[in-house]
Amino acid sequence: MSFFSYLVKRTVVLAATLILVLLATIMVAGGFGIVDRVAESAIRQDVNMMMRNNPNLARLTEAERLQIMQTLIDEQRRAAGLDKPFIERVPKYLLQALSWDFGKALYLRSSSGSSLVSDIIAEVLPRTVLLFTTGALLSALVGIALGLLMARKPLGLFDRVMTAFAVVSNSMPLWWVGMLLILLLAFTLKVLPAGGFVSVPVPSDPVAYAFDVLHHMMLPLIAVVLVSFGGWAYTVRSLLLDTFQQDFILVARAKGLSESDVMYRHALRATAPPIVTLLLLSIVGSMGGAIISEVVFNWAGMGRLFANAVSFQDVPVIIAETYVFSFLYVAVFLVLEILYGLLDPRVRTGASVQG
Amino acid sequence: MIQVAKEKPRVQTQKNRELAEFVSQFRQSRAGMVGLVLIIMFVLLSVFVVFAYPYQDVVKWNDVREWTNNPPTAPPFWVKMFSGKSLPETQVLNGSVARRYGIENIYFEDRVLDMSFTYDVPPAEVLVSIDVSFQGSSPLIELSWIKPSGTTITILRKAADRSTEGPPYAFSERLYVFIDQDVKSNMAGYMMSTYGAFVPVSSISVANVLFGEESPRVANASSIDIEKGIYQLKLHLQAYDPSDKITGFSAVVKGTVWGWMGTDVWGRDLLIGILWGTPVALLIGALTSVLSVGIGMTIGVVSGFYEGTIGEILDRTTDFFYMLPVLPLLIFVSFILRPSIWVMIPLLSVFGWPGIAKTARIITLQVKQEAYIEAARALGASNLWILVRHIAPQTLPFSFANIALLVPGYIFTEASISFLGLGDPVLPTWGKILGDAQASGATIGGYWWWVLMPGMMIFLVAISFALVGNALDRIVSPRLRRRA
Amino acid sequence: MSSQPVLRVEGLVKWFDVTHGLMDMVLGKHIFSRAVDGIDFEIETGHVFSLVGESGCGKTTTGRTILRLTEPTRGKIWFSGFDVASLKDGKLKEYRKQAQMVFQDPYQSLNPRQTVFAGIAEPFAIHGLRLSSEQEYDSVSKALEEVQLRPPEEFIFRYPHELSGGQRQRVAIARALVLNPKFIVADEPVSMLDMSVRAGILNLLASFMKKHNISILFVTHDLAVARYISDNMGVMYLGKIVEQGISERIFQRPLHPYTQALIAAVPVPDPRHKIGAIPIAGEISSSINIHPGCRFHPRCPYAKPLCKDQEPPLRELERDHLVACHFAETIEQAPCDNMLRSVSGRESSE
Repeated sequence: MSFFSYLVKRTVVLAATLILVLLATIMVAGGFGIVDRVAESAIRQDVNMMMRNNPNLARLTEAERLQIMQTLIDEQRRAAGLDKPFIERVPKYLLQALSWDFGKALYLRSSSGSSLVSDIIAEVLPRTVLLFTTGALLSALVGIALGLLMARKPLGLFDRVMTAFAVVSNSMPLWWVGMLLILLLAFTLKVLPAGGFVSVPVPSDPVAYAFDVLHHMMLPLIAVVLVSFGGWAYTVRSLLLDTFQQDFILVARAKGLSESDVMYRHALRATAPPIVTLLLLSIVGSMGGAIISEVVFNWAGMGRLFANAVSFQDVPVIIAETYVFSFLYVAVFLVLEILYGLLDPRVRTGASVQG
Repeated sequence: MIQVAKEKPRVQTQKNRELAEFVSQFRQSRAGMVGLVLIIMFVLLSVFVVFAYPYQDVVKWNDVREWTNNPPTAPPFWVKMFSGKSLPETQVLNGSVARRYGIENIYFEDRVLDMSFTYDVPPAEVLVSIDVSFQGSSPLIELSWIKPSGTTITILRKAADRSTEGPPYAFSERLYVFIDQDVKSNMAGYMMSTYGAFVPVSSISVANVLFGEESPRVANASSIDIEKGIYQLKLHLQAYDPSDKITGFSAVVKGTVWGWMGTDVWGRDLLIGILWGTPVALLIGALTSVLSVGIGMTIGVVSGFYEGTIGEILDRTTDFFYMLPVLPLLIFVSFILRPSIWVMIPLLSVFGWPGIAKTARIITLQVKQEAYIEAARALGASNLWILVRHIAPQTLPFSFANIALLVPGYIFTEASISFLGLGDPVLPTWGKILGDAQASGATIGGYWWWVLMPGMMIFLVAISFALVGNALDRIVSPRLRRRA
Repeated sequence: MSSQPVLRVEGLVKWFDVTHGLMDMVLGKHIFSRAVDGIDFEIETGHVFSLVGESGCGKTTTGRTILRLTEPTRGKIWFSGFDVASLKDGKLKEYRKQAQMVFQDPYQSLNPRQTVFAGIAEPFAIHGLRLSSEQEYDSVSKALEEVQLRPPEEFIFRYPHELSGGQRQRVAIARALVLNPKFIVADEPVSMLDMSVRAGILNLLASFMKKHNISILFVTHDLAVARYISDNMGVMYLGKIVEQGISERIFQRPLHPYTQALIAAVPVPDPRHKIGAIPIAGEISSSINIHPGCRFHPRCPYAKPLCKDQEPPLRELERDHLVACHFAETIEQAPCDNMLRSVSGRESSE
């Protein structure tokens, strides 16, 4: 089996996963009547608005007006397909979602005023990526550097202290650390803003804007790195120590290579595949945990949008966000699979386990 | 006969030999023992909590009206030790004695409540409850405040209007002295008449006026000196019927500190919430973990054992669940279902098992190739026998390590759900408390105890399971590597 | 000493499906490795029958198929009057009580997490024989004594890694014998043991055979061992038996060129003995692409055109001595001094 056919196979599987998740989401929402309720109330709102804005109707009697309203509502319902049972409408919803048409939000709006859910999401998605991907990368960098130091002198003082720190920081939820940091740095010491994406009023000069965003990014970034770098350091350290056991390191040392050469050229290269895997997984993980953290930092990204949608019960946004999160997850997994295929030739040839 | 007795226990203890070895290895891990001790402490605490604060207390916790007499957002009382100042604690005043007298057709009743106040900082609030019953015309009530120096300030003067059908009519007033607008304008009037000082009503601090040492600038000063001594709260009733009387008069002087863990914005004692969070967290963490490891192990082992179609299907299913975004989907489902913890537990475990299943599958695939599996088959063992007697025991140690290691993650996830208010509607969980804190602006308002305490509990429970899990994992893994 | 054979194998065939690649599987194009391609033999009560040959010739597969550890593709396996090839479930389990196996790798064939006691007592539990713990202990002790692990108390609660190779194999034998089987397949039971230990194990098996009248199918690549222990022998090559008969007869006068080469390769402890060249070239062919004609002809120094076209049948040249070769009568006996030039081929399936 060539690499290409492997890739195709994996993509098909992942796409199927995505569709299944979307289907499940729609079914669950529909099964509880939520989608219908939302659609019905939207129709009612629209019809009401329409009738109020129409001056001709004022001349009619109450009964006649009610009749017209009912007719209009029924018309709309038929147009939206609400007279058919939910099951039959599922394929339509599925196709809509797959083509990024999520309909209109009930209450939430994008900053440009659009009520299209796809606009709203498109606006906030980059901010989440900005913060959490940067955070993941930073944590990895710091963690790898420290892990290297730890591996140099295993069980030395630095190693043990960092290991203890790793265990401790892994046991703290990111968003709690965030809350504490806000209390410390924003409330008590007043060095960083307590949250938000930009200051109010928004700076118009693009450079000042960029700096303002960075300024607001500092507190969340510190929290992210603080919580994650310990785990990274410990993982890298363990990987390196395992690699050191292997024979090729012995050969390198016997050849007389300096310790840093051994470390950087040989050992690190061997640990690169799992590190890359972990990096991607941590990016995936950070997106999931981002929801609460964004609420805490008041960071106007995907996560906070999700939380707002939940508290406002803005169902179209909730469904769309769930789907987008799944999509991102699956996309990252696909990238992971591609990388696996590239790095591990055994996967490509489809060799089965012998005997 | 003696020989029989000797041999039987030997066969039994043989089965325990492996267990004893395992236990002694665990004992050697200091971190693991620390974690274990912590877990035991938490379990004992949970048992204690369920008995000391029975379920009715939990229901009371959720009822905001129960807590109106408590100071809101008050830090724990032991903060006093660090602040250097003497901070007031809550005092409840009642038991006033009625003094009645009358002139012609006007009937008076006076009641006085005493309070000793020697703290350095004014209280958080003074909440006065007045109940009057009258027959016909509305009586006049006058509430006045007498400071230790003898200064008298009128807090409120109004007619008792008819609050219910009568006769006799009842009048009820719950007065939040520090924030009531009428009180504030009375304070402004007092400042004007006493010092000729004009203070806009919006910037008046009633607390300053009532408790501070007299001065023209006391009304809106940022910090004041307290007049220390005996204060009196006097209620004067002027009525037009002999049977009109004051039926209730009490006051709560809310301190600025309260309890072991402080209070939240509704005045709830956080200690109860935090304590009750312990059994909830342990229950959720442990049960979910056991459940998901059980599911994962079973599926993983079966998928590895029955390779071929069943194995493929199970493997694909595992992959599918592995790729689901946990939190968004959980939030979505919780939003629709509003689950109690008994629904939450299986719901959570749906997301945790794939990782276990993958590892279990790999182990099974490896073990399956070992010659002794075929030897067992040659002996006549059925598939089930081999699964249970030969393969499962190899996976068991991993199960235990993983059960412990999964708990922190589950506690965090559940805390996230509760944070958004989507968790169990009744039981207090640490996540819910933290969510309330965030929503009430604890981080911006500096209510650090509201954030630190519940989060600390999450941290301690998580780390204790992490320590135990790591110790178990270390025992299990090298053994496997050391095998051949 | 009865005349009724314990085991009779008729036309046993085992083909492994080694098709790989999604396309081929979908199109139905299957590739088979013909591990065992039609063999017949009998084993009498209390006798040892050796199946010898290089790796990949199908001897181990034969043993496993007879015990139904892998399913036969075709053929009949008569055991005490029953066709084992078609047994299912309960009857199959009954069969397993009577036909047992001793494996090649003594450490791998014992569960490292089971004590000796647990391993030997397991067959009881598998077959639902409820014994009290004293009874179990006694049975296991007795079994240990029989395999000469004395005193049994010293060994009974040890783990496999606390035993030497030879001791482990004795435990494996004890486990196989604890249910009093009538028949045992011994798959290279001594090839992973030190030379000094081998004789002990072989003698143990021989004494068991005599004492309990057990029949043994002894699978090995080592002719010296086969000569030592077996009554009858079958030489296998690429899934077929090429020479068969009483062992000593075969050793005195090997008829098939392959057998001759194998025997010539056996080291002789005589420094004056000269080792010449054996005219066999090449490696064992693949069991997948079987050429028509004699399977050995690509390597046979005596091959003639007939050998390429027609497969020689197994015929009785002397009494109790069968050979599958067109020209067996004319082949010289000289090549006993020759040395095998080829090395064992790769394993396709065993």
